[in-house]
Amino acid sequence: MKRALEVINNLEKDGVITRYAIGGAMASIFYTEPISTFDLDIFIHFTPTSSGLISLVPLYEALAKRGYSGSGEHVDIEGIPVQFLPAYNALVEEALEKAVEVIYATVPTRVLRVEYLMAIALQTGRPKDKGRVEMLRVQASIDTSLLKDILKRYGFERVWKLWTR
Amino acid sequence: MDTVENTMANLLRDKEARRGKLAKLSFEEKVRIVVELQKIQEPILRARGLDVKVWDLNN
Repeated sequence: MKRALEVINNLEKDGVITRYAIGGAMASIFYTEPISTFDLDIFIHFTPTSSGLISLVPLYEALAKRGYSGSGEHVDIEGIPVQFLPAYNALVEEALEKAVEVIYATVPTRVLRVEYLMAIALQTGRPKDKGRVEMLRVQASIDTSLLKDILKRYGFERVWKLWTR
Repeated sequence: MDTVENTMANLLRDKEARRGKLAKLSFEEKVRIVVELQKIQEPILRARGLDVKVWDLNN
């Protein structure tokens, strides 16, 4: 994973992507006990094309030039199946902007803050997201004022009450 | 002699404590455990027709 993160850092350094952070299950694992996952989800922000559309083609081309090809929705980077997910709404954009810097085996990287992971899980709303929220609530250190602020601004207070009662 | 309720309460408390300890491991240690979990799950998921791959942490 160390080498994969170095490759992703270089994509950011070279301007292929403007900012990235680890999200999904692997970001949750940063805060909780390890659970099973086979994906490394990378949320990315990059400049839209001149037409205003967002395309992952330049990213995949840049990866192909570096010798990493896609398989299904993943790109195998140094033995790790990486899924690149564009920041698809305002909440994820904000989460990406506020992601925290961490070190993995001497390599700097970023992970979404736990409060945003919980909000994204509430928004996604699958049964496994409910489990994720509960695990994060029990095991992670949470900035409750930040979480309350996010829940209020994005209208998740009701679902939060339902999921955590 | 202990009651079933007390035994269960002790077991659940110990289990919760262990999960708390696991949550405090370093990110690298957690990723190593994730890969061990992948090794256990891979043959089961492949038998179900899912295309999964155990991560190679040597890179």
